[in-house]
Amino acid sequence: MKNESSSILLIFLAFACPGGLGGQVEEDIPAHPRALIFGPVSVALPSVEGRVVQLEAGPLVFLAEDHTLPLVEIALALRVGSFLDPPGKVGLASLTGALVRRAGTTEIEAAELDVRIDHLGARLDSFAGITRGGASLSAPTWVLDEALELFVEILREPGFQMEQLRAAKENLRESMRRRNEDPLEILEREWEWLMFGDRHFSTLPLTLESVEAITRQDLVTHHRRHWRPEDMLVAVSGDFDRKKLIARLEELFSDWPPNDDPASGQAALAPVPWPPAGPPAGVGPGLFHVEADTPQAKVALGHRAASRLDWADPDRFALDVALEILGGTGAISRLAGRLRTAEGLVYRASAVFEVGTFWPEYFHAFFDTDSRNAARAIDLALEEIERLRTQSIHPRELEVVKQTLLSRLRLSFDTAEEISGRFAEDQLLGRPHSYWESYRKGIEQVTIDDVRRAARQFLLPDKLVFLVVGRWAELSAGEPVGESELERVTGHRVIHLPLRDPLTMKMVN
Amino acid sequence: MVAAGWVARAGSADDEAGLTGLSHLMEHLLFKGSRVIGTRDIEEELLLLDRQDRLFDEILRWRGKALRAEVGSRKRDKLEQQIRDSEGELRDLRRRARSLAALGEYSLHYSENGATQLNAHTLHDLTIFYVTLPTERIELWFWLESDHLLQPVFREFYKEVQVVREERRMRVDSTPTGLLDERLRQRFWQSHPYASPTLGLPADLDRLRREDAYSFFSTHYGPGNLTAALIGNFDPKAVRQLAQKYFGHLPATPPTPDKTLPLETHRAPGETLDASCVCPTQTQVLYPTVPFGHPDSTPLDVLAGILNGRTGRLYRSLVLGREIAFATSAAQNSLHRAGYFSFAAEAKGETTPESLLVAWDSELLRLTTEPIPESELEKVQNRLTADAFRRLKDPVSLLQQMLVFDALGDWRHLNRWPAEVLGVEPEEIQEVARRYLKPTDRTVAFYRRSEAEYP
Repeated sequence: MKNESSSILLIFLAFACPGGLGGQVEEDIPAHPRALIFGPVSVALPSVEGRVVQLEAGPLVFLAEDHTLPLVEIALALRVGSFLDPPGKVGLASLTGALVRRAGTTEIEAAELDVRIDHLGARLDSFAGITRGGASLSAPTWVLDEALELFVEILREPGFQMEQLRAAKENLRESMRRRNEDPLEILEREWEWLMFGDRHFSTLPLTLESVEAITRQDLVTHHRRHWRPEDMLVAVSGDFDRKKLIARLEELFSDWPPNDDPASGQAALAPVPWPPAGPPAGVGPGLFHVEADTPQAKVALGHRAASRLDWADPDRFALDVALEILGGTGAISRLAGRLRTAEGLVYRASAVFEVGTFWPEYFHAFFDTDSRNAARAIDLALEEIERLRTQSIHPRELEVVKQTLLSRLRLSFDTAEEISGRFAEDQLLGRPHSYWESYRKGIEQVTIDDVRRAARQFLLPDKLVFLVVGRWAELSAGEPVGESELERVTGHRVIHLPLRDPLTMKMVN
Repeated sequence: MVAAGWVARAGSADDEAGLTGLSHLMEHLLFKGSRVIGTRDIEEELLLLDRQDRLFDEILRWRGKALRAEVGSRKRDKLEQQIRDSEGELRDLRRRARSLAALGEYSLHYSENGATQLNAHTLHDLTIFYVTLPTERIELWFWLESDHLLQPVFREFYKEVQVVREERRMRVDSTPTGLLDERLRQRFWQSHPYASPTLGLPADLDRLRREDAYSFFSTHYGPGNLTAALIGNFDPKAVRQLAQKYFGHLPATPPTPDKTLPLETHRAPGETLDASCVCPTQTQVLYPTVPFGHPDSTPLDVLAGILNGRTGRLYRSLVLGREIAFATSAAQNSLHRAGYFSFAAEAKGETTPESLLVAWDSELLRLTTEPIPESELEKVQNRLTADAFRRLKDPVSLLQQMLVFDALGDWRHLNRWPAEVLGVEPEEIQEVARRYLKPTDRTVAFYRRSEAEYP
């Protein structure tokens, strides 16, 4: 572990050293790497104990010191996002999130604020996504005091200056216009609609109309109501003095304007609603196609999960192992092994099962391939899914994947920034701090049978939705509708989805 | 954990004409193992690989002959039949070779020992290979890396060419500006080796031979052309011993010859690339400047710093003030053989690419004629040096920088650069702007969004 007390050693080797033994083979080099005997690798996870402090004003602060570099990193997280957008004002939460940092404060002009932050060599940012938002600060140690003051000032009294709001809207309009340029972007957004329909807050599109409906007063109200200190989680890491820093934070957070908004009032993190209001979401199994002028088809296949899995559900671990084998980023990935290494059909292929934090998400496999090969690649991917469901994995596959997952776990706590950030994230998601220890044990205990059972239970070939973006003439090799190879391997008649108008996201012909 | 990696001073600029993409393919091939790793029966496998190579050469010959015969003639039909038969035979040989290979064994050894982030990248001048693994298992890295440097086997060669074709389709052919960017680079570099596209031209990829790869490897992957680096919490003495033990027996090769090439002799400047696309309307301007290690390199970095960022002149003037740009950027790129400065801006609304160029020229004029305020320079210096520290946070990023800088000229650049930045004077910035960013020397590209696509 590289943490507070350790240092980094560098070593640099130029190969052509004059004293080298050119051409001779060292006798004590084993003939095969298997002959190298290694002791066990320990995965010791840090504990949250002694790393968390609650400020008088409410925020929980997670701390991890590391004095290797003269930098301090602060990440502040909140349960805010598009789930809070009022009807007709899609984009309010994310616009607020972006403008907290960018639109000055009640005291400082936006342009002046930017210059002051830059002059400190600091980096300051803010954002809001679907269910989380927040702000971050990265500052050299010697300017921490001043940077911290600006950081808290923008959080407490953002200016939402009109000029910045207008510029931000203008930029949103410009990025909306670009929505149909990249085939991958088209695939990603259509996929979300196929899974959740277009009524869920996670898929409600930003439109010209919704952006124009947002007023400065909306931002002010949204911020006052939802960016409350009592809901804030703060992760601090790097080169700081713990005592001094906590005292400083106490001071800065102490004079926050009181929460006098009658509509606010919730003391804890805002609940994320599920199921969403409105008609049932998503589509049933089928083959969907969007025309795009690209020689390489973008392909997604998968289905909604039946329910979300609790943090304590042991199926999580078996499922994690199963998906790493099917299409993870490590060495085992069967999709990559089959489609890439063995067949040369793709450069990349992946599969994930998103168990969901607040609502059930989906199983999702993805690859891109020469349009003429799409049907064959899908056929092979289906074979691999079926093989995982019906046949036992090899013991070595299980062993390799366990090592990969445990190493990734170890790496995810490798730096002070990750340690403090991980614990703050636990708090934000409602994930117990003890989860990581149970994850470690859970992964170690997964058996070959567990993997097959999880694959059978969670990967459902009958439910698959196929989405292909590309040139239909090449995808179907000119075969008439109902008789294309793509339709045969998926078992569905193709449904052509029209491209959407980039500013309204309505389907156009 | 330890981040470990090495760099070869060979990249796409080392690809010979007609063999573009070979250096990048080499990056892929080094994951295929050796005489020990990746095989079940090396002797039998090598025989099959050899037969494939000879058959592939025959197919190339027949293809040439077929193209010289009239379409529909009996001669042509016969040749085409021969090609089809041989391709079938080749497929069969590949199947047999594959049954003797242990695909992916190289990465498996790493994975089962808890290694992650195994990856490689090919740039113009160099190729880096790296991995993160538990400190306790550091010897595995020495074993596997020295093994494939000593006795690599480029198995699954023709399949990997197909994988690279897909990579090219993904990164170049199916992205909004991939093909145009490739054309712009070729227009700017002309006959300079940097014109060579890293992912290779499709026609070249289709006829790459395994022998080409072995020849590239023996020319460029000798120890005299390589440097390794390790970062982590380990005993340096023990690691030096491992280095001697495993790398010491690689047959010595002479150090890399210097490849610096003056850019001016290779190009005729002043050309404009004007093209339409399904992409944002945009303008790019490229200027020849200086290679890595030149004293003007850091002032040019600071110049880019003055232009970039939320408080930079480009954002202030083009994005906020005139509201003609959506995004802007400027950069000095100091490579081993030569260097260039780039400006890029994406248009907002109905702005034309020409007006972005006019705006850029007026910023340049301001820069060269009006004194740069002391406080503005200080702000940029603070920001750039703080960012230099930030780039040291992640061990893999630190490793990459050390390897890249070493191959470009000197890894100590990592330590020297912040002090150089702090020493830059305002007049130096104006001086390099006047010296290098001259309208007569530049290559301009205008990309225009096709009207039909524009809402």
